[in-house]
Amino acid sequence: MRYGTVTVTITVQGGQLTASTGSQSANDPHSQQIAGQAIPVLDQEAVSTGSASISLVSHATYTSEAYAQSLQQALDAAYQV
Amino acid sequence: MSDAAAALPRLPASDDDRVAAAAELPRRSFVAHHMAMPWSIHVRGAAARDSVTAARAREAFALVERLDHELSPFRADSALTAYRTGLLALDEAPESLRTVHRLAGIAREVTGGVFDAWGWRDGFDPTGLTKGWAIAAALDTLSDLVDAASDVAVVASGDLAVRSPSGLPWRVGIEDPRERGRLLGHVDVVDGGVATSGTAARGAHVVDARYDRPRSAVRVLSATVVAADIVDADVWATTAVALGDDAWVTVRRVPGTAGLVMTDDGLVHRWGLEPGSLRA
Repeated sequence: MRYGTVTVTITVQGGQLTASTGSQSANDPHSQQIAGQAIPVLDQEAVSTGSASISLVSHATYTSEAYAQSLQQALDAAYQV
Repeated sequence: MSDAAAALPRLPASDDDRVAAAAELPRRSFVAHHMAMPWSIHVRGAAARDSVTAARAREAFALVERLDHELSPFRADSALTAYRTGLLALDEAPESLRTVHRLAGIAREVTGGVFDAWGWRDGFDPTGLTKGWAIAAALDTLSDLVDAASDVAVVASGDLAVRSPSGLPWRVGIEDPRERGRLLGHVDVVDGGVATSGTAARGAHVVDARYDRPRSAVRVLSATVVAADIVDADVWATTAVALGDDAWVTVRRVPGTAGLVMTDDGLVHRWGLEPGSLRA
């Protein structure tokens, strides 16, 4: 099979991981390594500009006003000459 | 280290090491507003320092502006409006309109009618995939930077596509739909597209075209899909939101996708590809 699938369901309440089911635990480093770069990794902490090496941000479409306060805007501005 | 090992491309072993190596590359970004949303182009590598890169970015933005002029449902003078009102035949329409028309037909077929550009009261509206296709088109205009071994990314209000001849990933944060500025997680992408669709940002604007309304009791707050092609990612992210609580079960089976879905019952569902699947 060309495309392997790893599935995970976790429960997050108040930003904390509280339960996990499925074929891969969100906290299992071995499984993370097998999945490699192509499965989203969960971060259990707030991330701000300049941390966690985030290059770009994916989010639902929002207004230009919201963009002005967004993480992507900060990343765009950081590398603008 | 043996001579044979030294001859192999020296990519760092771990994801974090690869992201750290990417962060060492010179980088430059360009920002513009088109299609009523912010766009940015990011260049990583030698081209970030090249004075002609700014001109290339301007050309890419000019293309987006032209595509908006042709494909906007809000412009009275767009080719799309002329087509919708019967003033323009498809075979006389600009290539952009013929292309999104064709892609919309494919999207309707592969999603079993959930993604339906013909399901709107005021006629054909391909807007659900226009942004993704415009991102891909803008990225294509930057291909000579890629040929010169620099990495490029095109971002349009939360959807993006990257191409990385360096082999190093872009670490893409996935925003928490409940709290802007907070990230649920991230996915590292070397070559591919990432799209997120949601109900949180602009209200419940995505509906299952088969039912004219969000169908299920469990609401999808946001769906992020990663695919080799940003148009596929865009279509499946939109479809995941429209499908409600069936979303991750259906969309995760789509070959060549990875993703993350958050529902309003507090569950985060994610699925992924085997390493390297996204590379051509």
